[in-house]
Amino acid sequence: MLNIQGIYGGIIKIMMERIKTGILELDKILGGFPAGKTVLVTGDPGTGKTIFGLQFANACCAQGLRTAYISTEENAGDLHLQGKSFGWDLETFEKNGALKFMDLAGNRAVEIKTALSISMEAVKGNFTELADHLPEGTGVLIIDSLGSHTANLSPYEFRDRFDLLVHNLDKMGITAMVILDSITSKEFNDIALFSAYGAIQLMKRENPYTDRRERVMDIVKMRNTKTPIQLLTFEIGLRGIELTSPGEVSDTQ
Amino acid sequence: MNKQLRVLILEDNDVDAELMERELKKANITFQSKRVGTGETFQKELKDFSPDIILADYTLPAFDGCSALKIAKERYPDVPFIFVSGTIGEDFAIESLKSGATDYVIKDRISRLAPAVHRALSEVEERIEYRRAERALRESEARFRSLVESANDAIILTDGSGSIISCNKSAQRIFGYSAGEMLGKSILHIMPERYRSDHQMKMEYICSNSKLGINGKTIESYGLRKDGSEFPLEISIATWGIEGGTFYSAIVRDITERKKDEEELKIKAQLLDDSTDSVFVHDLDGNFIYLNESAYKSRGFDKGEMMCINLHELVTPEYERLLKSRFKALVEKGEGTFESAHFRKDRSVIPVESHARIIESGGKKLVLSIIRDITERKRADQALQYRLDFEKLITSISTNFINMASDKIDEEINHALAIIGEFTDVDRSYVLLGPAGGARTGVTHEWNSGTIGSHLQELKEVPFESSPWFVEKMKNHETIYIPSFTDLPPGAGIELSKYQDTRIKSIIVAPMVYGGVLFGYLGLTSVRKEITLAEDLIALLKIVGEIFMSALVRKMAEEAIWESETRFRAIFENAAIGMALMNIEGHTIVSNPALQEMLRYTGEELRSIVFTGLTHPDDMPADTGMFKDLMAGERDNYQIEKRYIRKDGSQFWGRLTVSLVRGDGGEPQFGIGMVEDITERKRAEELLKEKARAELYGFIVSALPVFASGVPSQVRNTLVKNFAERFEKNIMPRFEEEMRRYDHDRNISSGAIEAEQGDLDFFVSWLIGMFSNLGIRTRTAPQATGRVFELLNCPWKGEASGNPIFCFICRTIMRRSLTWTPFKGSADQKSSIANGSQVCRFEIHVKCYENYC
Repeated sequence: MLNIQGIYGGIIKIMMERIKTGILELDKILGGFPAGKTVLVTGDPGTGKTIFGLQFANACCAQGLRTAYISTEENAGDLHLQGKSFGWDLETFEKNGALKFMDLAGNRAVEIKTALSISMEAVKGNFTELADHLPEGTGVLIIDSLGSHTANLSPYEFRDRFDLLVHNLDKMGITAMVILDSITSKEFNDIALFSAYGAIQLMKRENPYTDRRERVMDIVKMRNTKTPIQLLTFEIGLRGIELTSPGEVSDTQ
Repeated sequence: MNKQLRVLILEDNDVDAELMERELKKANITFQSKRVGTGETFQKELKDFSPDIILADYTLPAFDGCSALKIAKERYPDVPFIFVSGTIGEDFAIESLKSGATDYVIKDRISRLAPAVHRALSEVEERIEYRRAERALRESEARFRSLVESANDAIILTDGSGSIISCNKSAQRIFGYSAGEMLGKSILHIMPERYRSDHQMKMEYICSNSKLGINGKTIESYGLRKDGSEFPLEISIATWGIEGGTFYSAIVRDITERKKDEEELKIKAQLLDDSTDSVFVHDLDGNFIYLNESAYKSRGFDKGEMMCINLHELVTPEYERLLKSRFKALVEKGEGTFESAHFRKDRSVIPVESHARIIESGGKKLVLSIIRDITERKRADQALQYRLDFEKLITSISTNFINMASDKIDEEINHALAIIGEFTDVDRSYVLLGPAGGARTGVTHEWNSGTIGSHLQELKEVPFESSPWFVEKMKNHETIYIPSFTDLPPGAGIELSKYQDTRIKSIIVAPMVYGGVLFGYLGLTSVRKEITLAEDLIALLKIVGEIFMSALVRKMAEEAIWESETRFRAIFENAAIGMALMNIEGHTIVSNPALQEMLRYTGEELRSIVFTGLTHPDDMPADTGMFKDLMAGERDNYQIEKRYIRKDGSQFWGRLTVSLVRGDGGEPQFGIGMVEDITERKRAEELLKEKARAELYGFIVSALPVFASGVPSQVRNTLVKNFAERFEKNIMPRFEEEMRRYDHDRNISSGAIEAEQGDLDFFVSWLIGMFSNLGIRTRTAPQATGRVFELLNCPWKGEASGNPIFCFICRTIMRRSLTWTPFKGSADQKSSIANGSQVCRFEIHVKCYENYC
């Protein structure tokens, strides 16, 4: 009998550890997000960024990872409801400590005020704070979204801060999903995409054959990972995001 | 960074290039740079300089950054490419990223260059590391894959949800799917329907209980092929979790053949266990390796107990001694059949027959024995032997009864009862006669073992009618066999048991039937134990009963003769011939009126006279001689014609026949004489003889001169022949005439020669007369096969001594005349007066006929 467990165990160790995204087909393609790395998810409004974030959070909790979810747009209650609509019992995960919602939405006014009244350094501090105030043992961080923290920043400043955030998270070994709306990203010439380990764009487009709008996902980059060349269409179904056209995988490093 | 970093700078503006180099220097990066401004030089240096990193302006007068990126990525995909540019247009970031750009530094923020370079280089290192790891993985995977692919077992990997993510060729072969058909499918597809829900349930359970180890466990289940057929399989599942999921690997072996073998083995084992024969497998030291169910059950052991026993302990000592030599013979011949005996757990013994064979297992010689319990066969052999012995016994008993003197019969029956009683191991054997037995009823003969009292007295009066059941059985001449007397058959009646000893355990009662009449029965009784006898043996007992009965009947018949003496007396008294009973001395004990009439004596007078006193002196010697022989027991009867002398002195010719009557011990007791008056016949005979004598005499006398003359021997022979022919011609008709007259000719005419004593007597008396006519006296005496006939004087003594031809006269008379009789035989002259003997002795031998010799 082959020691299949041993052999496969070794192989898996050599391979980069991956964390399931919660999107079945995407996990098949990518194997999951690279552990300890930051993935930037950008997208137009209504493309499902938050759903992706919640789906990832749910999957991480299910994989036994302590997960922090920083929400700048919506409060925890709204997110619970949203998760529940897809069958994700985030509330329970939160109760047993697997998940921590950090609701910054209510503080935004204060932050802005602080930002205005104090200095540019204070705003910069916001970025570091995001990582500094995480609960002990956090393995996964989801920031939804970074756009709220970019006010008054020049592209260079944004780049610097984002680089720093990514660098810090990397040092802490935290796997992160940073959500950024397309408009803000564009504002900074999509420069954040260079800093992240992986970048995924969510978009809507017209299907020229069906004349219907559909959601697509563009995996712009994912280092050390085989990524599909073409856009991946997806739907928001009963269980969250589901890919409808599994992509052909190619090695684009 | 020890090594000098080679930096290729694509920049038409030297100031900007300078700036870049300065930034790198500021960051303490040891480097060597090359500036290029055109596409040609870029391509050249890309090759010659072999940069570690490329820094490129986005817009150039004669070239452009995007083209440079394309070229660089095409040729050296691992060399980081950083745009250092003033402005970028819309979608630049995404486009350049997709093209493989590593980073983007705005010239206005040139201070970002050094961190960007650092990061790019570390990414390169990481990538190289990853590549190496990946290559190692690939190699490992390739090795593993070849291992997996070449494996004869199906190897299937699934993810946590049960989707097949990998399967080897064997998996495809075993399940009949192509790889494409299997991948991505649920594992449930290759499971028979009935196992699916169970599988899911178990997997869910396992998933929720991560501590449950299923690794390495081997399960037997069933697989479903693409064509819908099922097959038995053995599956070994391993699981491991990594962050983000659980994987399962299943190694599946098609065990159809093995199952078949197992089934076959199971069936064989079942067959072995179902066998009534015991099956042993043991080594040459007698240690058991295998025992079938019958082996230990039939010996009263459970399997464990018997496995611990050595064959040497199991076999009884008499056979245990033989084991060593038997094993030796087995090893030499390979197989053999032996008789043996085994102990049961309770130490009782089973006789067995063992067919043993040497088998090899694991390089060791083992003995496989099929052992049959031969108790039944032994029992059957014994039963057969018992039966044969019993038959032999019966045969000897019946032989003894043949021609047995009636007075020995009782003794012999008692003897036979003892033999039968001892043989059947009963306590009493007896003969009981019923009313048909006449005077003798009740138990007439008995043997008993001594453990039971005699029946002889107490059962004198047998209440035959007291048990109708018994009587009915007996009437039908059925044998009654009650092996257990406590279980008398219904209807057997209390009456039967009433007169039986209460201790009786078994009885066997065989009817004694003679001539279809039931006389009584032969009974066997056992008190010590219950007797079981096979049907055929009981049938033999019935035969014994019949043998007894026929003997008893014979005895009774003889006794009846004596009992009916009165009837005999009547015959005796009224007979026309004279009859007398004489004692051994010749005294007349009783005489009948006919004899008294013949002799003119009263019965009283006759009783006082010895018979010699009634006989003519001439006939006395022959009569007394024969009477003596008779009374000495040397003969049973004799017949003589003699002259009787009446009370008044007158004579008459009588033919006397005397028969001997023996006593119980065979000793002569009486003689019964029967006398017939043959005076008339004698007179006629005398007349004839006279006439014939005269003729013969004349004939002989006329022939004499011929004999006396000294003729030559050839002529004499002719003369002799002529004499013989003439003698025959002249005398034979006379002889035959006499024969006819006295009724002795019937045998001659019929040709069926059946000699009787009377015929021979007649012939002898004729000879006596013949010779008497020639003046020759004769004497005759019986002998075993005929008579001795002696001529006491010779009329031609003088002539005969000188001329043997005279002897031929007498010889011719003897020999020729014998040929006229019905006898086949010879009349040889043994001595001659002419040769100096006292008498001329002839011995007449006749061929021995039934009822005579």
